[in-house]
Amino acid sequence: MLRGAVGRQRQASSRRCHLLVFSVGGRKLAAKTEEVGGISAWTTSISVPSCTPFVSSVIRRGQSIFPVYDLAGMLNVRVKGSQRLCLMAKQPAGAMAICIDEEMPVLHSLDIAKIQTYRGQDLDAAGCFADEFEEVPIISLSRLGAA
Amino acid sequence: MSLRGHNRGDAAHVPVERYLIVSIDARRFALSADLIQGLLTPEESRSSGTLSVQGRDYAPLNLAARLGLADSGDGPESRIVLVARAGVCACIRVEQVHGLVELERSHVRPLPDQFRGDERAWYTGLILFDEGVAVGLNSDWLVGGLMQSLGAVTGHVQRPPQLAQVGFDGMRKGLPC
Repeated sequence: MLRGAVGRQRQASSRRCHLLVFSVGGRKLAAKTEEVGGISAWTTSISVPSCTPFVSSVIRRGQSIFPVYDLAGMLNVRVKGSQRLCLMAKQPAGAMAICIDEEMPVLHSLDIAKIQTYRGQDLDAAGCFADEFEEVPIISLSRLGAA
Repeated sequence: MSLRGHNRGDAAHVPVERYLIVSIDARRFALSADLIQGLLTPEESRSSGTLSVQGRDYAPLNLAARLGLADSGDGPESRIVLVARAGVCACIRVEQVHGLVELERSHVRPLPDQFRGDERAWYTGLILFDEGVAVGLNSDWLVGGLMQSLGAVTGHVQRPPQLAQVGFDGMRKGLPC
């Protein structure tokens, strides 16, 4: 029956999770696409003395100013490449910039059933999945820096 | 009312704020112009202690230390900024003075909410300046620093020979002493 088929189709698509896989200091990470505001070339950040962990600079884009989250610093790695990229994280408080490796991020569609609990202690991940070579943590961009 | 008169009236009501833009440890900060009493070169100040200028004593305020920044020492562009508020006076050593600017209030952006620490009390906002950003310092927070400085200072007073008066004629051109 048509109605039943459409319902099953919706059910099937709703069981998939759309992720953006990127890397910071060579380490693969993933984030839900609905939490990503965009990817662009990284521009020089402007330091702002701060007591907030990993939030101590901003970037200017035209007439707008965005805070920067030092994800590399949090992971204790160095961002790789000379053509680094800027990932804009959507947050309730407004967009926040993250400097990531120059390796172009890729979109990844994953069956929700394949998401497992992340057991690492180094970051607050919503879960993880296994790709060919490694376990990829799924970070929550909207909660990043909120703890 | 003529259109011309109406436009003039509107232009007069655009709220503006005045700041002295300075550098400390290669970062740009904006001090409210209401605080500024004058500028001196390190040679003119002759001392890192309390300065007496035109009958007022200015205690040293180490703004770099308050902001957790490195004190880069004196360079060719270093200046001593004399500030006063509510009868409290202090002198602040800065790496460079970029100029006195007059900006529409719309150029001052609030500090993003992601900054959650003590720094929320330090800054009034982020200021679009040239192609970059200057961090607007909160005058009330500075006053707290001035009072701490006054409590701590016990050294003798040095009297420099000249004081450069700050005026808006030098706006955005730097303020040679």
